[in-house]
Amino acid sequence: MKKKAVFLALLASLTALCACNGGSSGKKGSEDFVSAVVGITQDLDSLDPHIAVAAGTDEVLFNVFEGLVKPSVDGTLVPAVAKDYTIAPDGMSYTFTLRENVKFHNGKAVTADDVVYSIERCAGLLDNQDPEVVVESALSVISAVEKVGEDTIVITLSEPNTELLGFLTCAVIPMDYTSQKSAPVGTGPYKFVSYTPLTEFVVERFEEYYGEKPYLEKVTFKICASNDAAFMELLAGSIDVFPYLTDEQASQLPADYNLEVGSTNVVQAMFLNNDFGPFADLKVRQALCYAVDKEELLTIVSGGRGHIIGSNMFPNFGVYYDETLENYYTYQPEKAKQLLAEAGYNESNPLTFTVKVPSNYDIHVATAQVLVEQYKKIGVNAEIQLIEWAAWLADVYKGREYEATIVGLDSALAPSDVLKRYTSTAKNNFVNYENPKFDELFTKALASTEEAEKISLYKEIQQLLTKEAASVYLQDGAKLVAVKKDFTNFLFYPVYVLDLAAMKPAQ
Amino acid sequence: MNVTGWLKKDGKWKVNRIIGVVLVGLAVIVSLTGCFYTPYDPDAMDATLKNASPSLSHLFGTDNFGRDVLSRVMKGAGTTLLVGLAVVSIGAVGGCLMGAFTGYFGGKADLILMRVNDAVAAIPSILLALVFVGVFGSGTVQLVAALGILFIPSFARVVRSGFIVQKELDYVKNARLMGAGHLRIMFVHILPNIKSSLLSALAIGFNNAVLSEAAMSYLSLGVQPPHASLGRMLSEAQPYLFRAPWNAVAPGLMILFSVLGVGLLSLEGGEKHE
Repeated sequence: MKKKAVFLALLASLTALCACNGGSSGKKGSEDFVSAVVGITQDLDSLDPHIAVAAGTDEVLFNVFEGLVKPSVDGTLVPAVAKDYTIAPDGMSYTFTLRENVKFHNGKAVTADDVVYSIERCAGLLDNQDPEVVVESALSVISAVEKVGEDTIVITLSEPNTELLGFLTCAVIPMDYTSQKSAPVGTGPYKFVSYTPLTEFVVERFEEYYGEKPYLEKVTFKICASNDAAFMELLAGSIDVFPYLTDEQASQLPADYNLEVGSTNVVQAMFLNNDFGPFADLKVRQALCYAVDKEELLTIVSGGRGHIIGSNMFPNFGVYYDETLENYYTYQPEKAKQLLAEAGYNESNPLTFTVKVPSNYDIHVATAQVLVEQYKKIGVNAEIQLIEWAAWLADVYKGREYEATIVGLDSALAPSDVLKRYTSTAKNNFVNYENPKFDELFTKALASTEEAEKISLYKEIQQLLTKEAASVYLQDGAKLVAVKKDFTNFLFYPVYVLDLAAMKPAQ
Repeated sequence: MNVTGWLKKDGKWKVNRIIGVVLVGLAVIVSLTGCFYTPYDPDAMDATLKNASPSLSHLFGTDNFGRDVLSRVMKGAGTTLLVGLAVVSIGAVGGCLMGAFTGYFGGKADLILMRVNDAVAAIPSILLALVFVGVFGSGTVQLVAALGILFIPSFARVVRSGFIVQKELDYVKNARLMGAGHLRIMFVHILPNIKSSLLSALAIGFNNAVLSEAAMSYLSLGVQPPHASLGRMLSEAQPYLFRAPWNAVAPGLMILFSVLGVGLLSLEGGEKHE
């Protein structure tokens, strides 16, 4: 009897789960405003944009907060709270002119003092710094932020850096406001309405926004327990936009949804510990590159939708990205065998190594299985070892105790951010790559104020990584988004954001 | 005791035993065959055959990597059953020694060892195995060692209680009077007399070991990919349950057959011998 009761209770709660919010999908129906429900799979780690660190939170808060500049669809930075900016020719200072009539969601006008406060808070320069604020390490070059007029501020640096702009997207918040964690106030196109942990985050259109008014008047970010749970809700029709479809789910998408395909903006690679004996030999690393059939890999792990990459950068970097490197290492198993033989490996003395793979990422585990099988064909014994994400961060990323690993790296909107880890002194140089030429080129590129020179330097850096086969670069995965047919214009950015303000009604 | 006598009682067929023999036989044949012959290389991938449904060339279909499910089940069943056997062997040998000494001699050593035993048994076995694997790393050898140690307490208890009962019986006293040593009495005289309870403990232990291996591999802590094991295959089949159910059906059935078969045999094993 008791068992039966438990079963009934389970059944009832299951039904309730499926039924809840069944009809909240807002459309131009009887409701007099337009709304949409977006499914997300992570709870927000904080509502204060300077405390939140999870990429999944940044993605949502992008709609509420803006910095001096903000990323645009094509990968450039466009003025937001600032109207205009100039970078000193020596790369030592930045001057920003603020836009007039920008208002916070609480109705107050944005002043230069607010902006100075916000940047100082992000860079860790405040005297009474909130210890919870996560200081952006790239902003540590800032030595002072000053207000030089009612609408002008100057940022002074301690060393030349012309790529700081990509990090000045940090949110501008009011300086005398203390409830940022519970009721966030920013300058973005949407203002905060309510937040229920593990349930939802609701925003509505900010009517006094200086820019174009969004079409959607109310957006609910519905926090789902898992990817599968979110997809079940989508099948039931209670989610309008779901940005984390798996390849498998995409093939089961109901007819009233469109599938939008973009890019995840990560560098997925089999990273090689260049200090591990065999991998210190260039020929071995090159052999591992030649032995991978990337076309087959993509067909198996991402339904053929990913984008093959050839170096430590992804296509959305636009002008900085060197697409010729995609075909540098084509699938040539014979050449791979020959290189291995030259390096002293053969059937009686096969190359053997272990690949540590974070077990929570299905795509990396699947990729590892395909690679191991492909390496078997050239006589290389690669063994997979699955480890937890926390152990991966501690042992592989921080401790650098590994031989090879498969993971995806994301990046801020600055080419320096994605390449800096290969400089010999970088703290996050977990591949132990060391090359004086690389360091020299990187320092030059970072200080360069000439765009054409910068582009050619960064391309040279990418070519260096590819030729040296610093790691086995694989793909920039596909991002699959389900969008209900009532809406269009879901925009893909080269950074990790969800832009709901750009969405438009279907024609 | 001949074969038909074992399968028949009072002129009636023992259905349990017959089904048990058939199921266990099937599992053993499949996994033994898998050691030296599989229709395809169990790890070979084919991008053009992702999640292909069962057909004449692939009897149980193919998985998400285009690998032949039948070949993987044949190979994986061998791994899983071998892990089960190894775990049970470690548990049984360790448990017998511990149970025999504590049950036969008693005293303070018995008290202390059995409380340690209780402490190990009080912690859920999967949880303890997780800790073990967390400390020593994941892999088949670690998995066998972890599960093997965890299986010692249950055997120790069965053997100890048997010894406590048996050591007071007349045949033990006789043996002692005739000058037999302690070790001889323990393992030559007493142990054969607790055979029936030990056998059912072995059967239950084997089933638990197979299920634990499946559970640990399902949690990706046991057998590492791309090597096949039944639990690993179930884990990989999960996302495709609706589109390619054959990925889960074949390894699931294999676990069911071996566990159910051994279970049915052990039901009879527990009865008094005629």
